[in-house]
Amino acid sequence: MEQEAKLPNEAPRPESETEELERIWATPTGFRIVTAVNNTVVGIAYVGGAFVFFLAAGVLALLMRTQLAVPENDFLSQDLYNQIFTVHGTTMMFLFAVPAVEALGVLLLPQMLAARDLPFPRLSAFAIWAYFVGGTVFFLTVFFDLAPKGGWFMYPPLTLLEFSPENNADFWLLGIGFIEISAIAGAIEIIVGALRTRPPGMSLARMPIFAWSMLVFAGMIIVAFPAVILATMLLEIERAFGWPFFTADKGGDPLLWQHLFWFFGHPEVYIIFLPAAGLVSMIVPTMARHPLVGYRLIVVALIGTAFFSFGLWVHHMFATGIPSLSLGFFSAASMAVAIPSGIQVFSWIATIAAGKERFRINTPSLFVLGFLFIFTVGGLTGVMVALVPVDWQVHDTYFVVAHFHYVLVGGMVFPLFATFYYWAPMASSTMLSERLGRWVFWLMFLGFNVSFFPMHLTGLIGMPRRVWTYPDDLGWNGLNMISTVGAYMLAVGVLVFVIDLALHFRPSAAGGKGNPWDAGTLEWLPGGVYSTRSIPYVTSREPLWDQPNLTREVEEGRHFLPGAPTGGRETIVTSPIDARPQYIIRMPGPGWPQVVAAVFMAGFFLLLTVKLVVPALICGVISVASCIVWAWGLDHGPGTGPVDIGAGVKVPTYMTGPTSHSWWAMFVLIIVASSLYIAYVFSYFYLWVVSPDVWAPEGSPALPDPVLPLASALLVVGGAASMFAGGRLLPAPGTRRVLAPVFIAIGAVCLASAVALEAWGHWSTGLRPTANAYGAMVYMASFLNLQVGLACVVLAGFAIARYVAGKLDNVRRLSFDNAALLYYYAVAQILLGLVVIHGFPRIAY
Amino acid sequence: MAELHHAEREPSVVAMLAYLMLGPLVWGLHLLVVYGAHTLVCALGGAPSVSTTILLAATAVAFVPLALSVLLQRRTGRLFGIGDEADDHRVYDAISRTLCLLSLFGIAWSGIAMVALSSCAQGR
Amino acid sequence: MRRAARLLLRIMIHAPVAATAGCAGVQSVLSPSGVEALQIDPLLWTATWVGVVVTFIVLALVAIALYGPARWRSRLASDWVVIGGGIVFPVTVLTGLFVYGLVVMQAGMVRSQAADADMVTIVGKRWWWEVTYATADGEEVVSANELRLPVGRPVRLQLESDNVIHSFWAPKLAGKLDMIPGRTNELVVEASEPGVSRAQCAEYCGGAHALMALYVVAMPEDEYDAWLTQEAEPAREPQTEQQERGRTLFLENGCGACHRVRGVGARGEIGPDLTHVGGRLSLAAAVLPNDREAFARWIADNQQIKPDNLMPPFEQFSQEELSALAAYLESLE
Repeated sequence: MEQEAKLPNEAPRPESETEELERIWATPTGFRIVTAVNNTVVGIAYVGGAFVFFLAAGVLALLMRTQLAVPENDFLSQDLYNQIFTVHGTTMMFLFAVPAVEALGVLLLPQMLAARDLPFPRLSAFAIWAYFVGGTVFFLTVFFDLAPKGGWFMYPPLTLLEFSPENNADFWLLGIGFIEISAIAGAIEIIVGALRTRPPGMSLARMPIFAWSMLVFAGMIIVAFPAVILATMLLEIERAFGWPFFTADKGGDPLLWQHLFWFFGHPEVYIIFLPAAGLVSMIVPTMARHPLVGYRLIVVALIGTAFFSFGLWVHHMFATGIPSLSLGFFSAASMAVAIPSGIQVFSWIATIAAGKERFRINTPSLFVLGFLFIFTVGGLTGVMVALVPVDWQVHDTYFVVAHFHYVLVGGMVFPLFATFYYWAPMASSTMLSERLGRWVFWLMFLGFNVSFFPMHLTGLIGMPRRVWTYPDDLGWNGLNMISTVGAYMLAVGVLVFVIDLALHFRPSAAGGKGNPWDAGTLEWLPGGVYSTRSIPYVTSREPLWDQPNLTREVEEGRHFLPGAPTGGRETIVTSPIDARPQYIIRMPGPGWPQVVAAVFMAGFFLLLTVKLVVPALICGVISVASCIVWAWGLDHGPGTGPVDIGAGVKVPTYMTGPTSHSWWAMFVLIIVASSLYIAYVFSYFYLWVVSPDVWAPEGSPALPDPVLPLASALLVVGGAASMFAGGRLLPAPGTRRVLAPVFIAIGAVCLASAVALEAWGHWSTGLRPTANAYGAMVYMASFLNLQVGLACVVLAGFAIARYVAGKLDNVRRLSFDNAALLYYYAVAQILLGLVVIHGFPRIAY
Repeated sequence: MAELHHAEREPSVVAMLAYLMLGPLVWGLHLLVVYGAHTLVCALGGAPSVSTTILLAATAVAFVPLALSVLLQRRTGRLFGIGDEADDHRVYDAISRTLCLLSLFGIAWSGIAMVALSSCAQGR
Repeated sequence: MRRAARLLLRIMIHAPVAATAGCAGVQSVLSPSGVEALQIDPLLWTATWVGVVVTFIVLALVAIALYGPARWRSRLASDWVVIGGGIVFPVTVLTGLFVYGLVVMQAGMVRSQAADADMVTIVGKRWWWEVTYATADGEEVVSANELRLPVGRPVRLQLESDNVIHSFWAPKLAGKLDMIPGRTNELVVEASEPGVSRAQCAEYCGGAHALMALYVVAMPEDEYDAWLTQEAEPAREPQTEQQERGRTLFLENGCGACHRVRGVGARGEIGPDLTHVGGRLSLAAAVLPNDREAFARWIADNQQIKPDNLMPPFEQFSQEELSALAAYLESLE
C-alpha cells in the first residue's frame, strides 16, 4: 500500500467494533457446538472426520497386508477380504480423499481470501453432517458382514441382484449417495466462494494458486460427479426394480457402467490431486521465500489437467475389447495429461532454486520433497500404463496398485501431511513438533517406498489385484513380505503423527500463532473468530510480502468492513474477475435446521436401504421440513439499505438477479443437473449403438402418437410463460397482487402434467421399463423429469407460501427467482428429452 | 483504489472463462467428435476408409481456430471482450495461449493415431 | 544394458524365494514366450528406462535447486526452465513413446487379421474356464481349465462370459482381454516355444476370484494335433474294479447332473467337462495338483479349498468311496 492516507478507513476505530464482531461471530459452546457454522470450526471438524476415515481405512490396509504377507494364508477369510478391499478403496476415495480436500477448501479458502466465512455457511455444515453420519454407517458395515464386496468400482453384472443378492451392494450405493450430495454442496460453496468473496483488489490474476486449484476442483466435481450419480441411480434402479440397463440379455450393457463410472473415476484422481498440488504451490514459495516461478504456467497446468483428465476415462477400459483406434485417442489424451504435471514439477523446482537464501528444510518441506519424488515416479508409471499394449499386460495387476498408490499417496497424502504441519499454526495455538515431524516423515517416506515399490515387480511377475491369497510357488512370496513390512513402517509413521497431534494440536477458533513461516498470503493475517479485523485491499499475489504494513493496518481496522454495519454475520461480495466490491452478503449464524436435515436425511436413506419404509418416510419428512425451516429464514430482504464499507464505497446489503450469490449457486446447480442429463443422453445413444434391435419400433412397441409429446411440449412452454408472467406481476413491497401466485401455481401444474403425460403416453403403448434396455431408458427420462419437476414444484410452492406470508414482492424476490431459474432449466431438459425420445427412433428406423 | 469504482470495465465472467479454456474446449469437442464418429461409423458398418477420412477432416478443422488463436492472441482476446485496457490481460492472454498450445499437441497426437492405426478393428 | 537390468531383476525377484521358486516365472510378463507378449516386451522396457532416466534427471535438478552453487540455482529459476522441462521435453519424449506404442498396436492388428487361425472358445465361469476347441472338420471339443496350444501356429481365442465379467490373462503369451457378458472378444495368441505357463483371471469376479487360474500348455504342432484328436474321443473305460466302482458312484450320486463325461451318459453342463479330466495338469482351475488325493479332497471338502464355488461339498462318501471316485476320475486321461 502506497500512502497511509489512502487507506479505506480512518483509525483509530471504536473499541466496540471488535466486541461486536466477537459477539456476532461467537462459536456456540457445549453441546451446541454441533450447531456451529463458522468455517474454521466446521472446517477443522471436517478435516478431522476425513482423517479418522483415513486411519480406519489404513487399518483395513494393514489387515490386507497381513493376509498377503505369506502365501496361502488364512488370517482373513475370502469373503471378509473381499469386503475389506472394497471398503478400503471406497473409504479412501470417497470418505477420505474427496472430503479431506473439500475440508481444506472450507477451512483454508476463506482465510486465504480474508473472507469472514464461505457464502453458504449452513450448506457446508449440512454437507459435513450428512457425510459424518452416512460415512460412519457405511464404514461400520464391515463389522457386521454387511459391507459391499464388489470392489470400489462395483462393476455389474457382479453387483446386480443375481450375483449380489444381499444388501451389501446397496450399502455401497448409499455411502456414495452421501458423498455425492456433500461433494456437490461443497463444490457450489467453493465456486461461489472463490469467484465472489475475494478481497477487494484480488483479481483473478492475483488469486493464490490454492484458490485456483479449488476453483478447478469444484468445476471438475460439478461435471464429473453427475456421471457417477446417474450410474449409481441406474444400478440401484436395476437392483430394486429390474430395469435392465446393464443386463446384456435384455439389450443392456455392463460396459455402460464402466463408461459412466470412469468418466467420473478418472477425473476423480485429479479432483483429489489438484487441490493437493495447489497446497504444494503455496508451501514451496514460502519455504523458498520467493514467489512461485511460472504462476501463469501453473494456472495453465491446473486447467489443462482438469480438461485432459476427462478425456481419458477409456484409459481404464483398454482391455475390454474396444476398437484400437478408439484406444489410440484415449492413449493420446493420457499422454496429454502428463504435460501439465511436468509443468508443475518444473515450476516447483525452479521456485526452490529461486530463493536468495537456500530452501528451508523442515517438516512441511520434507513432505513436499517426498511428494515430488513419489509423484514423479507415479507419473512416469502412469505414462507406462497410458501405452495401450503395456496396459494390456499390467492392467489389474499389482503394477497398477503400485502406480496409483504412488500417484494418490504421493500426490495427495504427502501434501496433506505437509499441510497439517504447515497450516497447524493457523488453526492451533501451538505448533506441531518439528522433532516428531521428522520421524513421521522418514517413517512414512521409507515405509511407503518399501511397501509399494516392490509391487511394481510383483505385478510384472504376474500377481493380479484383488486376490485374497496366492500360491506359494509363483515367486511372489518375498516381495509380498517386503511390502507388508513397509506397510507397517508407514503405519508407525502415521501413529507417531497421531501422537504429535495429541500432544501439540490445540485448535482455537480465535486464530493461531501468527505467521511463523513468514508466508506471503492472507491466511496468515492475525484475526479472531470473525476472521480478520478488516478485509484488506490487495495489490499483489503475496500481499504480506509486498504490502509491508498490511498486518498492522488490517488489525487497526483501517481496511474494508471493519465493523458489522448490518449487525449480523456478513462479508464483502466482489466482482468475479477484478474483485470490485459489489454488495454485502448477510449470512446465517449457528442453527439446528441444517443439522437436523442432514441427520434425518441420512436416516431416511439408511432405513430405506434396510427396507424399513415407514420409519424411513418419517425421517424423510422431518428432513424436508427442516430444509424448509432453514430456507425460510434466508431471504431477509433489503433491510436498512446500502452501507459504507470504506474508501467511500457504498454497497447494498441485499442483491437479487444475476449478480447475487443465490443466482450463482442455482446456476451451478443447473450445471450439475444438465451434466447429469447429458450423461443420460449419452447412455441412451450408447445402448442404442450396442443393441439397436430392442429399440422401438423394431424390438419394442411403436412410439405413442406425436400429438402426445407435442402436448407435453406445449404444456411446459406455456408453464414457462406463466412463470415469467408470475415474476413480472410480483407486487411492490407492502402491496398484494394475487395474480402472481396464481401464475406461479399454473406453471407448477403445467410442468407436473407434462411429466405425467409423457410417462402415460409410453405406458399406453404397452412399453414397460422392465422389458428391455430401451424401455428402461425411456422411463429413465421420465424419472429424471420427475426429479427436476418435483424440485420445481416444491420451490414454486415455497414461493407461493412466501407470498402468502407477505415475504415475496418485486424487491424481496430471491425465492421466486430461484424457482423460476430452475423451472426454465427443467423446461429445456424436458424439451431435449422429448426430441431425443420421440425424434431419434423416427429418424433412425 | 480508484479502479474499485469503475465496475463497467469488467469483462463478462462467462466470456473470460471461455477465453481461458478455449483450447481445452476445442480439444474436448474434437475428442467427442472423433470418438463418436469412429464408434458410429464402425457400428453402422461403414468402410474404415470413410471413418479415417471423417476423422482426419475433423482434426484439420479443430486445428485451424486454435492455431489462429495462438498466432493472433490479442485479437482473440478482444473477440472475447477482454479489451486492451482490462487489468491483467497479459496474464489471461498467456494462460489462454499456452492452453491452446497444449490442446494442439493433444489433437495432433490423436491425429497421429488416425494415421498409424486402422479404423474399426479390435486388432488383438 | 537391458540384459544387465534383466539379470539384476532376476536376482532381485528370485533371491528371496530361491528355496521355493519351483515354478517362479510361469506367470511373468518379464519372460515372454508368445508373439504378442514378445512384441510388448521391448516397449515395456523402453518405457521403463525412459522413466528411470527422467526420475534421475528430476532428482538431480531438485538436488541442484536445494544445494547447488548460487549461479546454477539462479539459472534454474526461470520460466524458461518450466517451459523447457515441463512442455518441450515431455512433448518430445512422449511423442516418441506414443508412436512406438501405436506401432506395436498396429503390428498386432496386422498379425491378428492375417492369421488363418485355429479357433478356441473360452467361457469365463464362476470360478473356472470352459475351453472349447474347434477342430478342422468343424467338430467342437469341450474341455475345461486348461489351454493347449500348437507352437508357432496362431490360435484365435474367443473370450466370452455368461455371468459376470472375467479377464483372460496369460502374461507369457499376450496381454489380457476381458470376458464380458453379451460380447465376444477375440485374442490371437501364438506360442513361440513349447512349455507350460500359467494364466489367471485378472478382472475381479467376486468370491473365489483369487482361485481362478489355468495352465497353458504349448506343444509342438504334431503333438498338439495328436492330443486334440485324443481329446475328441469319449471317456476311457474303467480299467480296474475300483475305477468301475468309482464310475458307478459318479453316476448314482448325480454328478452327471452338473458334469459331462462323454460316453457314459453324464451330460451336465453346469460344471466343468470331466471327459479327460485326468489328463490335465491341475484340478479346480489350477488350485490343486491333479492326483488321486486331490480329487478326494475336492469332492468332500471343496468349500474349504475354494470357498463359495458352486459345487456342494459331498460329505456323504466314505473314505473307500472317495478313493474309488478319485481313482475313476484320475483315470479319465
